Amino acid sequence: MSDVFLSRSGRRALLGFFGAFLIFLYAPTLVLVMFSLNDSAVAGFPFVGATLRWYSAAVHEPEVRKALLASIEVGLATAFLATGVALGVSYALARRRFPGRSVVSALALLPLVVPTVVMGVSLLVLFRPNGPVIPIPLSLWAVLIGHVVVALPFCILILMPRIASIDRRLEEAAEDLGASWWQTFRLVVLPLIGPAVVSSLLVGFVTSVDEVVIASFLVGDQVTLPVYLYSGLRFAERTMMLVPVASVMIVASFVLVVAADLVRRAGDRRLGAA
Amino acid sequence: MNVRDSPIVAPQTPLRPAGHIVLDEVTKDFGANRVVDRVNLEIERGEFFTMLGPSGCGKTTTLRMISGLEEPSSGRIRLQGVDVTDVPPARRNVNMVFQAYALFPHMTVAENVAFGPRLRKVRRAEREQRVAEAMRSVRLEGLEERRPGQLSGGQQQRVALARALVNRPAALLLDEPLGALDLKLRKELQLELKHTQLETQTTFVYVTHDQEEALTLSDRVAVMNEGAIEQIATPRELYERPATAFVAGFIGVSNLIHFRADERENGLARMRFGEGQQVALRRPPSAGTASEILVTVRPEKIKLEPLPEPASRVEATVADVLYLGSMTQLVVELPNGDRLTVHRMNDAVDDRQFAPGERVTLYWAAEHSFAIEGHAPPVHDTGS
Ligand SMILES: Nc1ncnc2c1ncn2[C@@H]1O[C@H](COP(=O)(O)OP(=O)(O)OP(=O)(O)O)[C@@H](O)[C@H]1O
Ligand SMILES: [Mg+2]
Repeated sequence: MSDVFLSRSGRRALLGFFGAFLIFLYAPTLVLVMFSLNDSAVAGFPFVGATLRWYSAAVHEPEVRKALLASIEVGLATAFLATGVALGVSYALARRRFPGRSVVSALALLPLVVPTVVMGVSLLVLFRPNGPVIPIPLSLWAVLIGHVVVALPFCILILMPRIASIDRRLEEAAEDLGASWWQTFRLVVLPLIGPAVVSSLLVGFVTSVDEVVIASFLVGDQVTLPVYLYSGLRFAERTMMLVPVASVMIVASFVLVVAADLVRRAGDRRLGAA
Repeated sequence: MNVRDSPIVAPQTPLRPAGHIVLDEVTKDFGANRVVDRVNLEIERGEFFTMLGPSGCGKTTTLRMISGLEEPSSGRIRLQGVDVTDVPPARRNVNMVFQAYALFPHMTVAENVAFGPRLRKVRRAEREQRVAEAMRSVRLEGLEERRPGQLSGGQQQRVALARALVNRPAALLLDEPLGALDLKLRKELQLELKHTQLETQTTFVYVTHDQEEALTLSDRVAVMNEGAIEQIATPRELYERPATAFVAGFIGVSNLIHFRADERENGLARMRFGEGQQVALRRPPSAGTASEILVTVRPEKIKLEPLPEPASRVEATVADVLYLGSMTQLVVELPNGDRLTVHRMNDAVDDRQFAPGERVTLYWAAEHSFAIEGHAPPVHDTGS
């Protein structure tokens, strides 16, 4: 186990650091889940008793359900759209030589360093209802476009190395055996990067479901869940209802990440020792 | 059917039986780098044709142009009489066996082999039968459900072969298919390859840099050097009558004598080395008598004992002796400074021993000297 040779006190210090790190990382989450079960009107100590009434209240609040649904819809759409576009861009960047290749690469990754506030404002200007630029009304559609732009660089960073790592001769062999470009992509490239595609979908989904800044600029009548949560904080009577929603989101993301990792491992195992 | 409908003009057959695969002045440039230089080839149906040459001479590039994976910069390629220069690889009736096999790692062996027929929409029953047949022909039965990662190098090589053969291509293009295997397995699979080729009567276009492999397997060999073909001939012809200094050096040991004809008679040219010593050459090139040419003689043709009618007789000094088991290899120096390698079988009861500095007399027949083209310094193949 111990690749690094450590003295006893060194090992103890490392263990302590790791413990502190875990607490720092997960204590807020645990506390939140705890409070969501607390039978008290405020999110805080003391712990009065366990109850599910906040969950029940949240489930029975139509606004929460609608916001949740909107978030899932936009999240799924973002996941598939961003992954699809990223597949095309990554394939072109990894496999083809064309003029302006480095420019495309830089542009595709640019949203990584543009603050989301800036992005939200510029998209708002672009989509302005009475503006001349692009006639897209402020709505979940506008949010979707914003989220695809934000998620795209992450998806590309996940997919491109995987595509680049595929032996080019596999594609040539497929072509030599009679496959069209599309068949080669579908039968050889896609299965080989399957785990990365799953990761990309997941990251696209999570990026969207998490995103509050751009969404708050672009939502129309129907808000997404983070926007609902954020605006709900201003109303004391709503706050207790938000705690269980946040808890569920955390647990769900955790389950998603673990599931994606299992898929990836199963995929790697399937390729055998190759 | 009316009698008059019978064809007046013979059906369109070429005047000359065209080659199965024809390369016509095929050239490939990568940027300013000419990698394949005006190659002309005619490969016959059912032939085992090998392209042999040192690393980087353009063998793979030539093969890839036949498969369609690479596009010639100029020149035409014809398959079965049809110009395919602009046809993509998927629609050429040839299949490639890659050096590193390029098996699909996410598919089982059976799925790999079935890949081609599946794309060509071969019906399921026939597909399964053809896959089974291909698996049998390369002796891989029982491994259908394995994945390539779970196979040995030799088994992977056979899967690659089966995956190509199952399509019944007009020709199989093999790029150093045994290059990644150890010597013993390579010898074994060489025989199997030849066997498979004869059994399936498929045209094989084979690429290797191993001259022994080329001579063992091929019907004909094209020796390539720096993108150009030096000679196309049967293995025997290539060995016995190399056309250029490069071929003489690449196939076996290069023995080159700088030859100037001192006298000519009855189609025999002689270069004199003093009293009773000469190198004789049958059928010398008719070019100016005075000009110097290169003459080659194979090491095992040179004898150290008098022959009944020795046309060539030269006294030489032993420079080097190497005991090789079944034979002894001598390097001797001629009076003009040229060095020759001599192979002498160790088959006598009282084997004569040689030592450096010793004087010996070399004898060989006039028929065993050949004039070769080009004055390029010979390239010694140190590989294999
Ligand atoms: N895509 C390419 N771009 C630029 N140069 C290339 C390319 N492919 C091959 N070459 C060059 O062309 C030359 C011939 O390459 P090729 O692969 O045909 O040689 P080869 O005879 O098969 O050699 P080896 O025995 O090492 O496989 C080499 O100098 C190589 O560097
Ligand atoms: Mg090569």
